[in-house]
This record gives sequence, C-alpha cells and structure tokens, in this order.
Amino acid sequence: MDERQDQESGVSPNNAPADGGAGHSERGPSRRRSAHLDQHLDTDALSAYLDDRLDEPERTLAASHLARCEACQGDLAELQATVALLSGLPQYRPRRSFELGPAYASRGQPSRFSRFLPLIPALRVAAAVVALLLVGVTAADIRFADDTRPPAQQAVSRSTAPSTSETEATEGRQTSEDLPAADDAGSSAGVAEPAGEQADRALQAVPAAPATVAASNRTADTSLAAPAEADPATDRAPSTGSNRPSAWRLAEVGLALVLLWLLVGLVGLQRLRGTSDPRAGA
Amino acid sequence: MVVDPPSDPPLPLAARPEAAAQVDGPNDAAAPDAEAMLDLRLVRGAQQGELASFNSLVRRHEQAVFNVCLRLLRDAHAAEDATQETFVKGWTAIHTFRGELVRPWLLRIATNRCYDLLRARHRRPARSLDAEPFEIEPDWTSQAGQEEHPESFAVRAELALHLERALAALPDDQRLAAILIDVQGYGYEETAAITGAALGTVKSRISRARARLRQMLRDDPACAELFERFGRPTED
Repeated sequence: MDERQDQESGVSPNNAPADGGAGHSERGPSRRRSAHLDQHLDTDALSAYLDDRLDEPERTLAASHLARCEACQGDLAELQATVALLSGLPQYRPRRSFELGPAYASRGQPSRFSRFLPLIPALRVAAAVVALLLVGVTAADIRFADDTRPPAQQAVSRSTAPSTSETEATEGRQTSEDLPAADDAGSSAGVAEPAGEQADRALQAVPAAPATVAASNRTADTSLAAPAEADPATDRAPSTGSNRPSAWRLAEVGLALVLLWLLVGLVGLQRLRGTSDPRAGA
Repeated sequence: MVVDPPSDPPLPLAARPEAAAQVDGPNDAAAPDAEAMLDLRLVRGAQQGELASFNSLVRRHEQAVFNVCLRLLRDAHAAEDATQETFVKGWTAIHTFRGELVRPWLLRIATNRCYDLLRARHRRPARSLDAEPFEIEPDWTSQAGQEEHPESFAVRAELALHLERALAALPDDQRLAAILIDVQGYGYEETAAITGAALGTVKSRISRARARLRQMLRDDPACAELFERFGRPTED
C-alpha cells in the first residue's frame, strides 16, 4: 500500500467508495468497514485515534487498518512521538509570586456591582437619550398646554355661560370690573375664557411664542385680578374632563426620574471603576 | 516500522500519568474532586472578600497560568505581567465565578489577555521573540518520577528545544490548542471552554498543530535524526 489515497476521508463510513466491498457478502456497516480497511488514515483520524476520540466503529476500523498498513503505522508513531515530546516539555517555575498584596483587599475588593461596569457606555447613551426626550416633552408641554387649554375651557364655558363668552370675545377686552361679575355668575371657567382666547390669538399671531407671551398679553390686557382668577381655572381644567396636560406632566416627571436614576448609576459605576485597580481592566 | 499494537489504542492524554501529574497532581480518581472542592471553598471565601483565600488560589494555579502565558507570549517578563494581570482580573471578577473549575476559568482570562498582547505585538513588531529561548531555566523535575535513561533524556531535552521553536512558529490558535491539550494535558472539552471555540474546531486545531509540528521536526536537519530515533520503538 504505497499510495496515500483519499487523505481527507479519514475513517468516516460516509466516505465509503461506491464499489468498496462489492465482493463481500456483508451488508451495511460491515461492508463499508471492509472498504475502509484499504484506506489510509488522515491526520485528523490519527490524532483522534491517538486521543481515543473516535467512535467505536471508527476506532475498530482504524485499528484494523493500522494492523495492516505500515505507512499509517509510521505516521502514527511519529505523531505519537510528537505528542510525547509535547507532554514531556518542561514546566517553568515562576520567578516570583503572583499573590495580591494587602492593598487589593480594599482597592480591588470585588463588588457585586462590578458586573455592570461594561454598561457604562450604554448608560451614557441612555442618559443622553432620556435627557433629550425630557427636553422635547417639556417643550411640547409648554407648546401644547396653551393649545389645549382654550378648547377645553371653551367647551366648559359654552355649556355654562355662552352669552358672556361671546360678548367678551367680541369686545376683546376685559376690565377688572367684569371679572368679579362673571365670577359672581358662578362660572369660573367663563372668567378664564377671555384670557385663554387672548392667548390663542397671541399664539396664532406668533406661532412659536411660548406661554410667556400669552401670559404677558394676559397681564397687559387685564387687571392684576385676571391672572389670579385664571390660574384656578387652569388648574381646574383637568377636572372638567381634559387630562392631556397632566399626561405631559406625568411624562416629564417619569423621564426626570429615569434620568436621575441613570445619572446616579453612572456616577456610582464611574466611582467603582475609579477605585478598582487600573490593571484590572486588562 | 511497527508501533504499539493497534488493537490497544494509546492512553488518552488526560489519563497519562505524566500529564496528570503536571496538571492536577496525583493521578487519583478521588483527587480531582478533592482539589475541585478545595478550589470551590477558596472561591467562596474570596467571594466574601477574603484576600487570603484568593491568594491560596493564586499559589495553587500560578504555575499553570504562568506556563501557558510564557509559551503563548514567549517572553518571561510579558508572561509575568500577563499572569499578574490574570489574577488581578480574577480577584475583581471573582463574584462572576459560577461553579466551574477554577483553573480553566483562570486560563480563559489568561489566554484572553495573551491574545490582546499578541495582537498588539503583531501591530507593532519590534523584535521577534519566537526563536529566542526562554530566560528561565526549565524545571524537568515533573518527570523525575520516571526512570529515564540519561541518553534518552538528553535526546528529549535536545528535541524539546527544537519543539519549542516549532511551537512558536505555529499560528496562535493552533499553538494554544497544542499547549492546552498536549503540554498542559487538558481534554478537548476543557480546551473548548477555555478558548471559547467549538469542540470540532478544537479537534481540527490540535490535529493541524500536531501535523505541522511533526512536519517541522522531520524537516529540520538539526533534529530529524533525533526525532526519528526518539520515535523509534525501544527494542527489549
């Protein structure tokens, strides 16, 4: 058996040649085994045979082949010698001890939070995203709080004092004497309505104007008593059926809490990383 | 050339007395369990913050970690640094240890660190350490239990020098497989766990590593004859 045929086949039965063992009367694996008795063992098979990592049929097949093939016996002997040399390589004694000094007892003391250290970059990104969201939600709250106030108040005022609101809207001005009168009529929402409409007009005139513009218009056009009356009306708006402003507030508070939690976690982890030994990050 | 009877397959490496002696101490079936239990007790202590327990682990495993680092990095100083960093990292990450064997866990840290250093070394190759002998005297006493003829020992020691150079010429992944399986005596499964590679990949790497080492020893005119003599079966 001089030629090394089918080096890549190893001893896998799946690589049996089609005509292998045709002259034998055995069936199935036995016939394939006969076919592989003539095939040399490749390096993978020899290595696995050496480590006894072959399945039983493969090991039997390899052993049968090795009993007849001097070339494979030589290969196995050299491989075995290589492995014996490797396993006989000397060990090296370290020149010094690698025990940790007493400083590590406090500095490098393991913390159960150390496992979160790799999350620092992700926490930074998350904190930035939440901060942006908070800014956006706050801006939207300021923007839409003034947009949503008039319709709600209008709805309330239409149901309570439509004539008063229409009159005041056409007049466009409200005096300090009118407000107590409207208040006396028992409709605080009606009192707030003119201020709301003025704010709405102010927003239509200057779309980007925040609530401060409306507030300034309101205070300029009305007496000092007007805001005092309008504020309770605004506060009562949710109770009259519109909860959108409170949803914005909830979102703001929630985001602020999340941001606070992220910042506290970040600061804590940064401190933890700072107290651990810098070589520990290797 | 006739070798051992094929019907009697060679002893698996993990069961070889000399390999077991190098890695896990006495080749006693009960010993590994006792060793593992002791390791686990020390780990529990270290997880409670006891530095003394962790230092006991260091003493038990520092030679194995150092030898793997040394053969991977081929620089005694770099190997010492990598070994120290391995134990510092192990101390800070001891709370993540979950019931595995300690030495493979430490070796995983060590090999990761060595790979980082090797990558950095490949990026800026200042000097080749591959052909240089180690700066530390080898300790042959681990094989002292066997009665070995002085001439046979001399051949083996000479071949060991050539083999170390051949090892250095292997690709990193094949070298690590050869070091862990053949030099340190770990099984395929442990090596797969240490390197994070699939079992089939480990089999393939060790097979290719052995084949290349064998080829290099055969092709080296300085040691081909010695290698042939070493591989020749002794005739009683």
